[in-house]
Amino acid sequence: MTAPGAVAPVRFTVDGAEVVGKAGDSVASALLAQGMRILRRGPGGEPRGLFCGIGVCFDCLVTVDGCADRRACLVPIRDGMVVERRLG
Amino acid sequence: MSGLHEVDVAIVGAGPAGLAAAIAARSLGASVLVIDEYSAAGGQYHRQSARPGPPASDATQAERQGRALASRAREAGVAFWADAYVWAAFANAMLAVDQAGMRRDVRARSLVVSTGAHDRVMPFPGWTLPGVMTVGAAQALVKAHAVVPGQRIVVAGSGPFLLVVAEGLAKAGAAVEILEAARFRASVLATFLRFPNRWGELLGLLRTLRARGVGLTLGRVVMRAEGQDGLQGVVSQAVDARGTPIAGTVLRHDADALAIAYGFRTQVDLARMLGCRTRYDDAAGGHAVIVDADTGRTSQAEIYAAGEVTGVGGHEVAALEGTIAGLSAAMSLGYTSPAALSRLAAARRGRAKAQRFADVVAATFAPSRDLALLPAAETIVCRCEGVTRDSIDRAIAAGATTASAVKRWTRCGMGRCQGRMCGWGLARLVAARTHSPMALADNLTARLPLKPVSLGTIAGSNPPLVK
Ligand code: FES
Repeated sequence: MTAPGAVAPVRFTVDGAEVVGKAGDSVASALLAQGMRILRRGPGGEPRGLFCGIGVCFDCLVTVDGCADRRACLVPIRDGMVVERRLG
Repeated sequence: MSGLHEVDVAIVGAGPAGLAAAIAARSLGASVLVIDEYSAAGGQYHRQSARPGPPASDATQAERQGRALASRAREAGVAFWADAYVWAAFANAMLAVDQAGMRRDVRARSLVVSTGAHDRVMPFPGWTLPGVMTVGAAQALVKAHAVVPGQRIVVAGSGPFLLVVAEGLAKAGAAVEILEAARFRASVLATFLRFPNRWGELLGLLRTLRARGVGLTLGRVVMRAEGQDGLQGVVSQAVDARGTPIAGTVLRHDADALAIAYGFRTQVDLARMLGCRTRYDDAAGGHAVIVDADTGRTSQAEIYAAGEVTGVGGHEVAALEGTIAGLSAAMSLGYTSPAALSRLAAARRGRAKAQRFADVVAATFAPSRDLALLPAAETIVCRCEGVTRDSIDRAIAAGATTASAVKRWTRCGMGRCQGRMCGWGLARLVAARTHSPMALADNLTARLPLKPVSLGTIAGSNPPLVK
């Protein structure tokens, strides 16, 4: 149950594990709120996370519901959303 | 394809300039469409909370103003396309738009380009570590999502924006420290004294920062970010007026987030694709669309530009330029009102006055010469393609004298961001090594599509994405 004035929880999965975010979160902000800073790996295998936060740098690319290369900083989270990171 | 949308005035970018232009053009009776890449109008300055429901009680004045402007525009009958990006533009104001994966085409009789600016960054060792982000990214996280990027945050780089964002982060509960690269000389203070109406704003900000325990150090630059899988600390050094590091002044700061930017870089790709002429002003964000200050008209017929794309000057200048461009665009199509000319005159006077202060700010925070020395040999300069400084050096040694020449040799700037992140740093490196002016070195240009779109979108065959 959501208390009055509180933000509704949104449940989605990241690499198979459930994550609970808040309505209004982007994929990147919801993950960051859980302390998950790594979103993918760069060309040299080094970890990358949110950088520009406004859709310019393309450093935050993740797969959302099977659709590759979505910008995690722009995509709002939805219940049941399936997010996959390329960490291999 | 969902047909061709025809409109009197199309406005690209819903920040302070775009919103003002929309309200102005609509007030004279023109039909107006605003196209914006984000889900809520307002741009970076008026950025809205993405939370559903009424605005939070602690919403900032900029947020409230943005909300009010957007609803005023909507009530007046301005159409908004959110989550929509102009990925191609053709002569006579034809725009190809990608709205959440769906292609929509627009033909406008007049066009206002108000695509704004984004944070300007200089590569440095460790800048790809998760936890290192632009100042604008930290701002967006706090304002739109009420998420604080860390517990101990260093806010660094240069410009008045650092103070504003540090305040937001501190209010959200983080321990914040500001490292401002600029050193203020007495002459700067003397100039600032000529603008008494600005003292209150600055003093208020400094007082809040002080009350929240936010330290502010001038003349200090982040040299390196450290950590394994994410940021753990930041190493800074004091610099002199030219930006040369001073020996014996190295400090290490514990930090789990670093928000860094050296001012802003104009987003002129669309204007340039439309053939609008630009000038170069490094202190005002790089390439700036040349406009007639009295109308906002660019070098291209029926194309206007307003706000940061004409040279970074802040939200006040932007809004006044938006009003000027919106009124002028509608008037050139034959729309008018009895008050139109006096409104135009008032906006012109206001703009000239606000611009004088913006010029002082730009000169105060102009990036120093030696910033180009920040990236180490093995530092990744191009985040997309992983190109390091030493390979750029080899291209320069082999004869490359501009950013685009280096791009052809090394792929630096050839990735998805089209050089928007590395372009300025690359140009500064080239300019420093070859002693050439930034106006020549800083010459990466974006190509079609301006941002990646799927083939399905281009063909117009994609089903709309569920939002
Ligand atoms: S963080 Fe830059 S595009 Fe998402």
